[in-house]
Amino acid sequence: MRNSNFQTKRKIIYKTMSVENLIEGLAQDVDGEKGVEHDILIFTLSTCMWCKKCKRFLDDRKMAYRYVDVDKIDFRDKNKILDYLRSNYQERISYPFLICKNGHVVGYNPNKYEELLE
Amino acid sequence: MDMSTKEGMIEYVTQVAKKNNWILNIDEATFSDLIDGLVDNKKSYGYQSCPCRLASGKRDLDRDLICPCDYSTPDIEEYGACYCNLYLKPDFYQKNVDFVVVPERRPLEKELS
Repeated sequence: MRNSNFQTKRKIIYKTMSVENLIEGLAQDVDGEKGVEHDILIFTLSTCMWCKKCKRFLDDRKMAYRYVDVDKIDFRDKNKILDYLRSNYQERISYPFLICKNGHVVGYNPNKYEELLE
Repeated sequence: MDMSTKEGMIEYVTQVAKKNNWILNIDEATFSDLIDGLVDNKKSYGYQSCPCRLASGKRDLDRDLICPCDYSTPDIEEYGACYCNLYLKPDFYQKNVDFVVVPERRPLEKELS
């Protein structure tokens, strides 16, 4: 009985949790000396070479960022996040999907990173 | 060949490239990352799904993404490289570029299914 109440409570919490909070909970922090003001968040795939290039781009510049490996998260969370990205950015999703204070970049694009993160 | 190992996956992609008259990416770090991604997907899903795309984990839905993906031939023809830049046109490096970003050719409805 207690367990059932707990499960119900969890479901309610899950349903009411905003996607922003969900992302906050899933995001991994990478420390850096610079770039905190840009509030960089990247949606990546753990297997993706372009995503690794994007992370190396930021690491080489000692920039702080957060990332979510979309292929490593729960199916329901994944769908919630993908729906959120599609509706908020009106973009076809590909990886890396970088969001920062000055805009967003879909796919690996070092020139655009330079522009947005200068 | 055992494609759940790095050596086996390299053997596999080498055979694919040879059969299609493509070359493989010569950048060591990029090539290594791509092979690692393919091996991880082979271990996770049971098939070598494209490492640069999000797989559903259901073979029937991901069939077009199994490396070499269904889009590699037209992408290499048009852009000189597949979506991941693993397979390249033989003259790719004559253009003095390290990589090319290939637009997603996969139909959106497949991604959403």
